[in-house]
Amino acid sequence: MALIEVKNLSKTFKKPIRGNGVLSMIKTLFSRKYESIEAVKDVSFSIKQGEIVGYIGANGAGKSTTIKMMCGILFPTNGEVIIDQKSVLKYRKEINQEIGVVFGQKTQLWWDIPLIETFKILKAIYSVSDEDYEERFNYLCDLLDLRSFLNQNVRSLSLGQRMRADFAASLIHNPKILYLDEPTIGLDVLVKDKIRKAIKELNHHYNTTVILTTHDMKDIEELCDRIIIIDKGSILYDGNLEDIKFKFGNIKNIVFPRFEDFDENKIKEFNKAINIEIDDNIRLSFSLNEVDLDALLLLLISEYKISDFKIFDIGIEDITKELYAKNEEEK
Amino acid sequence: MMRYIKLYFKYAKLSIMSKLSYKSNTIIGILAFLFTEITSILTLFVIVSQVPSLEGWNMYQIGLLYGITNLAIGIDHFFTDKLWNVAYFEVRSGAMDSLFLRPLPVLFQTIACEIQLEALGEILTAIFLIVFCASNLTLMVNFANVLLLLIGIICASLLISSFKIIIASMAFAFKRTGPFLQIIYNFANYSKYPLTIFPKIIRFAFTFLIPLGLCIFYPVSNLFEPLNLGINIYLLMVIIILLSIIVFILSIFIWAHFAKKYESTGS
Repeated sequence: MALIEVKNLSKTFKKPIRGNGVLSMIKTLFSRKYESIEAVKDVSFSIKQGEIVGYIGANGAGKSTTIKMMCGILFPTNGEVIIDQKSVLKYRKEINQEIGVVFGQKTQLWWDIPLIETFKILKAIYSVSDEDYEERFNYLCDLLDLRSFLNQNVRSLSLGQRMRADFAASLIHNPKILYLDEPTIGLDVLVKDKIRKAIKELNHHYNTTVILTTHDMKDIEELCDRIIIIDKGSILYDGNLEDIKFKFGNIKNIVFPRFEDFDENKIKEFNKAINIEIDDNIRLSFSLNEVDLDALLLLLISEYKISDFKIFDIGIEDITKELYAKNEEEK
Repeated sequence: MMRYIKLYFKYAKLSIMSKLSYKSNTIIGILAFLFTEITSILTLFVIVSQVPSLEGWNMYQIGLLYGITNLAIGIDHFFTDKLWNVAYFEVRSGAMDSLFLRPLPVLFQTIACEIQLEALGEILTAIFLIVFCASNLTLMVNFANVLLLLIGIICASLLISSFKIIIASMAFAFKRTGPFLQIIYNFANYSKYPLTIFPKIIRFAFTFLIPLGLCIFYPVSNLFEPLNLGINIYLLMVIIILLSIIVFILSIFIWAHFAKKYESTGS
């Protein structure tokens, strides 16, 4: 039985058509012309209890809009979201009891007062019993290391502390579903790690279903069993992470500064599957399925004597681009 | 119901705590309102003292009416100031998002999350003015008249709040309706003066359309001489109560309707 069902969800924003400059802005005051922007187009999927799903796409792909409709902030233009057999539209308040949300960009904590007060009022808002509150509060404090700043004003917390606090605040009522909208944005590696561990631990401990949007490939690799890729409002891919990684994710890039007597033939001899681009830098891109990375690095160091190089994974934006191109071809 | 009352007090406590974390800011705010009120009252007295009476109203009577209207405005200000922010900024900046995530009505959270201590400046000057003017007048004080006045003040506050809710809720669709809220205040300011000095059309509007006159003017003039409206004073109380409750309920429905149009922001 699916916990979350998203059925033919669409959201269209109406925007008045306006030109640039003050004059045409004034004109739009009198014109009735609107253009429709389809932020989300006919999106359907279902999610089972206990899954961790990565919902990814480039900026402006429609991720946040979908999430906002799933938690009842936005009213869909078409379609509906059903959680626990209840429509989000009709039972917003009941469903809010079952979900927790963290927006990386906006805090939900009470800004000017000590952090502990936020937890106290959330306890009252969600009618959490004393025992449950004690248990969860202690669990979350240990998991996210909150105790050292519980009595500090929220506005004086660092971003990392605030995110951890926000994260705990969204979980105090033991929601079945946790929506995370870019939870690791702007955080340093250590805090990112802590948050990822906490997500895993929670999913394990309480069987919390997690839906997460992110631009960080590492978030996805470490957490998600399943990913849904969205672009221009439509779903491009919905499935296993391993499959898509095999198709795209094993692509690596090696970049090093360009030097005078660079001879690309040696690399071509080594393996034809390596794609070479030369501008200010030299960029080698290849799939790990075809090329042995260790041998290539050895070759680069011994033959070319390069000492300064970087290795990149393919980004989620690149995967989206390629998927999109493929989709267009198929049409 | 009990749950909501308890929650309201919890929210209020946090709001006051946040306000007090900026102590000097809050004190300056209260003083600023105090001074604004005092100067406008002085201006009123300077003007009114130049004429012997205004449509039969003397200086103290006008002062009393002014004070009572300000008390009603101040009470509304104390409880529902967040609506200003909704109308001006919160919808546009997407700050309403978090209210839609809680298992409580959005309007309840909007109202409950701010107690405006600055309004104390308004309320204190209003009370001072009422006491000062009343002590210089011979009023017909009896149970029915005082009850009518109290009901009038509370219902006038509720009416102002309801109109604010209606206009603020339109921000969900139009993004920014703050300037229109100002109009409600300008209207409320009219009822600081005797209704009888205005042309018939405004008198009609204040009795029936925006019934602030009904809630404040009649109960106040009733303290000077018995009302000659042709209805029983208790019936007038019932009408005032019903009217303000109907407008309030209507405002809740209008709010719910516009809240569906909330668009949040891009990120």
